[in-house]
Amino acid sequence: MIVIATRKIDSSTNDIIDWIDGKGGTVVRVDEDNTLQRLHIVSGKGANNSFIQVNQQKIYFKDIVAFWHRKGQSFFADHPAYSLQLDTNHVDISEELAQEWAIVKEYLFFLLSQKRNLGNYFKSSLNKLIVQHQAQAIGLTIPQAFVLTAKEDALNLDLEVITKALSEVAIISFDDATYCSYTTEVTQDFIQTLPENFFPALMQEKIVKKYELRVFYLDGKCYSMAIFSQLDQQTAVDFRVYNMTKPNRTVPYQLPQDLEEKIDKLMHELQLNTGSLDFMVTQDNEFYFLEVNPVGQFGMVSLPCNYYLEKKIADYLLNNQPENHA
Amino acid sequence: MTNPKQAQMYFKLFACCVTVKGAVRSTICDVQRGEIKLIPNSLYTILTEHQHQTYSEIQEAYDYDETLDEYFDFLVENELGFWTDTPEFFPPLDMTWQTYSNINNAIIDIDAASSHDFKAIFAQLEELGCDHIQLRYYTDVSKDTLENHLESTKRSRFKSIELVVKHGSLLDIPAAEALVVSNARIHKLVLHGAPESGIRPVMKPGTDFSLGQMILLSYEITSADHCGVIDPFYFSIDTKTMTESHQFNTCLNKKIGIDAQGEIKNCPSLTESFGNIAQVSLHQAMLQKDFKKLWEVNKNQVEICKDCEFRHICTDCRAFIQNPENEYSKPSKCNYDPYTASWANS
Repeated sequence: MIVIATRKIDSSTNDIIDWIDGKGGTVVRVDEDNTLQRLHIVSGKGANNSFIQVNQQKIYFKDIVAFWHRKGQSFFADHPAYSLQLDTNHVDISEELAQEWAIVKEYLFFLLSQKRNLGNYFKSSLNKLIVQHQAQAIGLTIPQAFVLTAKEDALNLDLEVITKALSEVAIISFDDATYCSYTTEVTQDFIQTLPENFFPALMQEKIVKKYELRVFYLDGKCYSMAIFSQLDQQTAVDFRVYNMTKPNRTVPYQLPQDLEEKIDKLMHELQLNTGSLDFMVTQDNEFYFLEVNPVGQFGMVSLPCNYYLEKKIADYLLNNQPENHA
Repeated sequence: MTNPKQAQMYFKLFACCVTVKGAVRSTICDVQRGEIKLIPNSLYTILTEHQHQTYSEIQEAYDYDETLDEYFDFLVENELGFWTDTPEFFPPLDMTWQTYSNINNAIIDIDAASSHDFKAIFAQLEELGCDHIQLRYYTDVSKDTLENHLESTKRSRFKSIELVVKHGSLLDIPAAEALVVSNARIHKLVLHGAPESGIRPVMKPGTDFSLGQMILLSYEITSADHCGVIDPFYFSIDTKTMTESHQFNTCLNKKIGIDAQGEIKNCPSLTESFGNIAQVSLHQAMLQKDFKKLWEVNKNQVEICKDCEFRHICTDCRAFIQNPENEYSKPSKCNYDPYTASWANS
């Protein structure tokens, strides 16, 4: 049995279930808003009886051969049965209960991490600055980056910079409009409007790119795609500002071998067996590493490049199933 | 293009722009944007035989012909290709086509005499991994009856449902539209015998979110004999058709049909039956010898079509062919002649 923790709306999950099903595998899908109805975890003698119950179904750990934490908070989020006890106004008690629950939750994911795994729950969000640091140590080229708080420092930068979120893209709604924190160029005029001191912000060297790359990494292999976003003014700074009528050209790409080797090394260091990596390529064919997204979308790479990544992921989850450790 | 840097560069088509050579002209099939560009065969030769040469090498080969620059300018302006100094980074599109299903799509025909058990049929199709179903009604049917037939698809694996239904006293345009709105799986509804012809998008009420489309036809469709027309309107310019067409039949591969009498066939328009759904399961039928015999008849093998520049975006038809004795003969409802590059009476 393969367990997939995901979200209700995620077409990649559906596609992979189709491939697993077509190969005769069994999938239990658990969406993040499914309630954990019952926990029965046994350590030591009788561990074979451990199960969790979701959607009226008992899932025995001994039957799970693979676990994929695809997306979402997953089924051990903060609204399982234990929240009944959390219904208290006493702050100390609720904090204590939250800490107790965190231990149980971590243990559940630890047990699942003993199975064949894709993705790593404990690494589902990464620190961009630390990853850039590690990438450079491995020999990847990274853009120069600053985290600044003083207007004076920003004005003194002697290169063109962009800014973007250090965490995830923020989606903020107010006044009946929705705003997304896409990557934006930082002009001198803009810096002039800033107060003397501002909230810590990332300022990153603006790379003049020929095209950018999205690399889907799976179990030691790179599946790469070039995005010709600079052909279109609308997508030149951030390709996610999609042009729907004339989409960016997205084509299969073969990375140089030494770069694939460095990516493999970085992913091992990050303890990730899958993820999406972003690069920019300059006119001089220099590859600038930007970031790794551990739970990135791969459908947007799979389809235009005809890579059948959904099938490859299904194969990964189905094949070479290890012996049960439970 | 006297730029010294350009001179040493290679021209690459974007991998999604696939060249297909015809008898007298070629196409660039842009499977990403769903467009085709007609090009002379001389340009096809430049893009294929000379693809591993630099700009100056090609110029030399062509004795510095000015037409070359016109060609390359056309390709760059239309975003069909680009110049690069690293051609090895840009592999062509892999033409592999794969599926997880035993059956990918099914056509079920219904007339006044049909007695299909829809619930049982749909259950069998789900078991075979079927994603897309088309139901074709040749006689009057009401919205209630349609809803009743589709009841068991509500919680199913089907990804899309296409309906071909008759306009009449039992079903008018608003009722047909209401049906598309109420069932998210219905992405297309063809209303034949309608008072007018045209295409109407169906929106989620009060939004600009498209739920599907209605195609109104002023003529009636009375049987499976109406199928098999080859026309640019039906061209399918996408990666799936492009890749599948290199190895398989773009209409019949992974298809199953049940005709109005319940006979199980590869397609309802074909004559050979593999049993009646009242006695035989779909799975049993498709295991029979010859059920899949047309699945791998691809356009590179079909006479005349194999010289056609549209062969990898064409829907094909094996039911209505010029010579019924020869399963590799051209579709009889195709008016295109690739040797003169012209469509007859159209």
